Amino acid sequence: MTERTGMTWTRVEEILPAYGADPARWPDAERAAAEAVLATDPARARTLLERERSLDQTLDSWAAPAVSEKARASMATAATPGFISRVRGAFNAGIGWRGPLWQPAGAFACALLLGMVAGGAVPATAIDIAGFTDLDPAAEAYGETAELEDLLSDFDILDAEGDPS
Amino acid sequence: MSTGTPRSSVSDPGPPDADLLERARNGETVAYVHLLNRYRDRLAGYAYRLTGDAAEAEDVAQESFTRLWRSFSFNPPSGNAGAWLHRVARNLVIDRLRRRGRHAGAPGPDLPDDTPGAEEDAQRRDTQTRVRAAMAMLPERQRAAIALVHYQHLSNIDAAAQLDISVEALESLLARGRRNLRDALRAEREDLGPTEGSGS
Repeated sequence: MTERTGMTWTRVEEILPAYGADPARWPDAERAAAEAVLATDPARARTLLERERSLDQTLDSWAAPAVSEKARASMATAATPGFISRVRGAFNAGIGWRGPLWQPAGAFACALLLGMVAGGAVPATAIDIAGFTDLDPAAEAYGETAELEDLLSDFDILDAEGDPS
Repeated sequence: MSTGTPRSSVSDPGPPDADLLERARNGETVAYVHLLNRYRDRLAGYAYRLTGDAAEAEDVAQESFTRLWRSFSFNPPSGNAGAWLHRVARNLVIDRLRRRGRHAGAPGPDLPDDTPGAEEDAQRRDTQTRVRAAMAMLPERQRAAIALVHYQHLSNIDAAAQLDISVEALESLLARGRRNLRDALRAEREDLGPTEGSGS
C-alpha cells in the first residue's frame, strides 16, 4: 500500500529491522508516515513491531555502569584551562580580542621584525646626521677659510704656504 | 532513501555547545566543567558499548576529554562537542582493540549486584552477559552503528556523520547488526523470532 507521503510497507519493513520498534529511533522525516502506514493494518503492524520490540528489550537490558567516583574525580581535576587558553582569556578580557591568538602574536612578531630591520638601517643614518651636525661648523669654517685663502692668494696677500708675504 | 533532521545530542538545557566551546577556548573553567558534566556519562556509556569493559570505557572517556581540553590551545572543535568527543572515543577504542588484538568485551568485570532477588538478578546478569558477548562479536562498524542509534539515541543523520558514511550505509549496518544480534541471542530469547537472512 502506498500512502500519499510516498511511504510504503516495503519501506516500513526496511525501517523497523534497522531502527527497531521504537518510533523515537526512526528517521524523523519518515516517522509520521511510517506510523500512518502501520495504522492501516494493525495485525501486520503488531507482528512486525513485536518482533523488533523483543530484540529492543533484550538490548536494553544491557545497562551501562555508572562512571566510578574515582574516574569522575580524575576527569574533574583535568578539566582546567591550559596555558594558551588562559593567555587567550587574558587577551579577551584585557583588549577585547576574540579572534585567534596567532593574529595578535603575528602582529607583534611583525612589528618586532620591522623594528629590527629598521634598527639595522637607522644607526648608519644617525651617525651621518650626527657627523654632519658635528662637522658642520668646522666644515663651514674650513670652507670659508679655504675660500678666504684662495681669495688672498689671488691678491698675493698670502704666499704659497699661507703666510703673509 | 531516508531523510531526517538531527536530534539534539544533549538533553540538559544549559548553554549550547558552541557557546561552551568558545568560553572554554578562552580559559573559562566553568565551561570546562559544564562540558564535562554534559558528556561524561554519555561518552563513558558509548565507550562501554564499544569495549564491553567498564574500566576501559572510563579510560577512553577520560582520554577523550583530555584531548578536547588540549585542542583548545590549537585547533578546537566548533559547534558540536558531543560529536567530536564520540568520534575521538571511537578512534581510541579502535586503536586499543587493534593493539590488543581482541574483540570488544571479551574480558571485563560483572556488573554490580543492585537488584533484589538473587534468581532475577542472576537471570538479568546472564542476559547482560549474552548481549555484551553478542555485541562484542559484531564487526566494529555494526557495533558502532548500534551503539550510536540504539544506545546513544542519535538520529540517523548524526550517526551517519559520526561514522563518515551515508544514511543508507548506516541503515544497512544497523539492519545487518540487528540481524546478527538476533542470531546470537536467539538462544537467550525464543521470542526474538527467526531471522530473515544472515550476513555481517
